Amino acid sequence: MKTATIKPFRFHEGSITAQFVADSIAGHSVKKNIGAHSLFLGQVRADDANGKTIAAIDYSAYRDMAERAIAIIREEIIIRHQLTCAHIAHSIGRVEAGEICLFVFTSSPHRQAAITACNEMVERIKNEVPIFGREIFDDHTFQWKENKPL
Amino acid sequence: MKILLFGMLASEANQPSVEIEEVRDVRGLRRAIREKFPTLVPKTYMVAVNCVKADDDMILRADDEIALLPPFAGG
Repeated sequence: MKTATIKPFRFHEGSITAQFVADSIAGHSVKKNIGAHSLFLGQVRADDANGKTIAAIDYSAYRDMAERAIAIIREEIIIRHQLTCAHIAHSIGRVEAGEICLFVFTSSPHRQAAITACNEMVERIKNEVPIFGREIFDDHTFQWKENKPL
Repeated sequence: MKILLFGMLASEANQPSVEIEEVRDVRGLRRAIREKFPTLVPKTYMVAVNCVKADDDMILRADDEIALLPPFAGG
């Protein structure tokens, strides 16, 4: 009998570096049944609000629930689109404007599955995972980020 | 009952959790929060019980892990 095991997810402390992304891509050269990768990178945007500019986002989360939710989202989408593999990284803590806070990387034999799965993962992470963000302005005041109303 | 708070709710209450009298269900929890913590009243939140989203009819037990979650902001 096959036992299902879900790969655990853990948050990434601080920003996701270009080196992290490059290493992840390089790690796939041994998987020669892959024909397509799709990669999404979320970057902290220096939005303006009331004459102030966002300098950074400080991410926090209900970690137990969020880590469990991301692990399940990843697993469900791998199965549905029969991906070769998929990787997700999300920052916790402070990420400066211009830095990367979300990394979603899907791989499959053909492009359509990889692209669709990548989009689905991004949407579900934004909508279903209890992650919270304090947008810190250049004058050190802050406001809470909201992806959309519940 | 201990209620965990996150994001703007923890910030507004100035603490990571609050205590309320025992309530029967999520609807009762929302009522108790309204009465005891009026500063949280204007805030929109979802209730999670044992790390799963809970609707208003869900019955609460003393050993449940209960959390109030403000709007999500991942990505």
